[in-house]
Amino acid sequence: MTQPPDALALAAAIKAGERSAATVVDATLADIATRNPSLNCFTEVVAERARSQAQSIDRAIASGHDPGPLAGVPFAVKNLFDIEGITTSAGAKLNGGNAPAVQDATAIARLEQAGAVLVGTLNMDEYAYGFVTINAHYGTTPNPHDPSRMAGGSSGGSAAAVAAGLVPFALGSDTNGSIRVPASLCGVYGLKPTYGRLSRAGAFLFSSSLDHVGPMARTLTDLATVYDTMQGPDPADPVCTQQPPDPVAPVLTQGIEGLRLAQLGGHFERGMEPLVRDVLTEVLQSLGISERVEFPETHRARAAAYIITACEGSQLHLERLRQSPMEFDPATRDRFLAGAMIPAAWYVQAQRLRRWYRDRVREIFQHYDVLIAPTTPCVAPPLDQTTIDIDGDSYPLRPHLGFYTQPLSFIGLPVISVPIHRPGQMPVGIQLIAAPYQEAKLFRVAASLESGRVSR
Amino acid sequence: MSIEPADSMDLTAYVEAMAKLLELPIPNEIKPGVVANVEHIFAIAQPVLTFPLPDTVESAATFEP
Repeated sequence: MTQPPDALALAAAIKAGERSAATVVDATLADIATRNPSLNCFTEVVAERARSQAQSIDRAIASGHDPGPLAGVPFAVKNLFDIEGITTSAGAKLNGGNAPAVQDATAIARLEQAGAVLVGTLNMDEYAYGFVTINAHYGTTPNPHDPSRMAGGSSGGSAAAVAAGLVPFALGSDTNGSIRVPASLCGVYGLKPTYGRLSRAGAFLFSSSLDHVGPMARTLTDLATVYDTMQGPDPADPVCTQQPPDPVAPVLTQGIEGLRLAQLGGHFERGMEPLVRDVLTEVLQSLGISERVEFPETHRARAAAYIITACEGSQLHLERLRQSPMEFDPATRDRFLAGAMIPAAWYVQAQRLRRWYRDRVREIFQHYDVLIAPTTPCVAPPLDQTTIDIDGDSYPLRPHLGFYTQPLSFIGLPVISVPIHRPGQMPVGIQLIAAPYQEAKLFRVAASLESGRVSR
Repeated sequence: MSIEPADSMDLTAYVEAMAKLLELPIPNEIKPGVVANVEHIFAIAQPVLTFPLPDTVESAATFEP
């Protein structure tokens, strides 16, 4: 696969006058036109808007202004972020009759204020309910490393577009693993920040109690810069934190001295393929980790996340389910209908369990800074695979892809999925996990893996 | 709390009753899939429902006036 320049290299070249933003954007649009028919990442391309934004970047540079750290860098977003003047589909044909968005999502606005150029929207599972990006309306997004395999989901178009080099970075959303699972299967960095850290305003939500937005990129410095650009309070998102931004780009050279690291054991060391176990072992060894710690009752936490997701997602779509059940993707429809029938007491119990689990995990983070676990139990599976056999046990494949991600987003912990590439093999993702609002520690450990050439 | 394993007849009746209560008409051709998913959710829910929580543990859903 071609690997075009990363975001910061592009911005540097544009700001130095070596390339214009207009030529970079034109080249990106041409590349998308040529390659997207087989990659099927993009659901819409906003060429006119992108060219206009690129021209304004070039004018700013010509008049001596600094357009920002992402000057002229093309990016794309999961098909659930509002773009002014366009109807937000969220991967569903049912949204086609909705009014066009009246303004950009906060995340898009902040990135464009920093000079980035939005080029389009990316494929996903309908209403973000899935881990595979196999969409009845918009088709399947295959894995760019091997088109016979899954890209993962639900932000599969985002991960695949970045992995294929169509854009240097993209935005996704993560409720139970929807940034981290495709990042793992496609071999790119994915950040699911602390719950509430980044504004979700203008993103079509799925399960508000659990929804996050976050970036995906090919390099850690790009991931850090994009994340820093997106930080900051936003009154338009009732969940968004009032805490001041905590930039992570400055910590990338700090090293990991003083950080207390451990493997996350128990639930998080069961049910993985041998290849994933090998990579995990290599990462643990490279970081000098011999300690292991367990979160209690993780299987219950994962089940509670499932109940909350099903209840909130089904309630959000209840009127559409009433009016037009047959217009849903069959892959989500029956689950949404069933979710609408969950007794209220079960939902409240799941929300109370969430607080209980959070309190136990907070205690554990008194003694550790960053914990390590795989992102997915397997590398990208073939598109038609429905079950997975590991250590003699058979699991239904689709839900099992979220086995290690779901219990962590359940309590809003910040997580980076780090891509590990080995020659001749599909990529493997490893999760770095910290206490709430400790993203900077994740970036320090990820930088250590990158400088030690463990990650790509 | 524990729940008797429900047979598919019970769950079909449950789905039909809930559909009525929710004013959520379910076409016959997809009803088996919905019943199967309800059965699946009820199985998944067991570890949540059988875990005793102290009265002092509040819901994690928060609201700031």
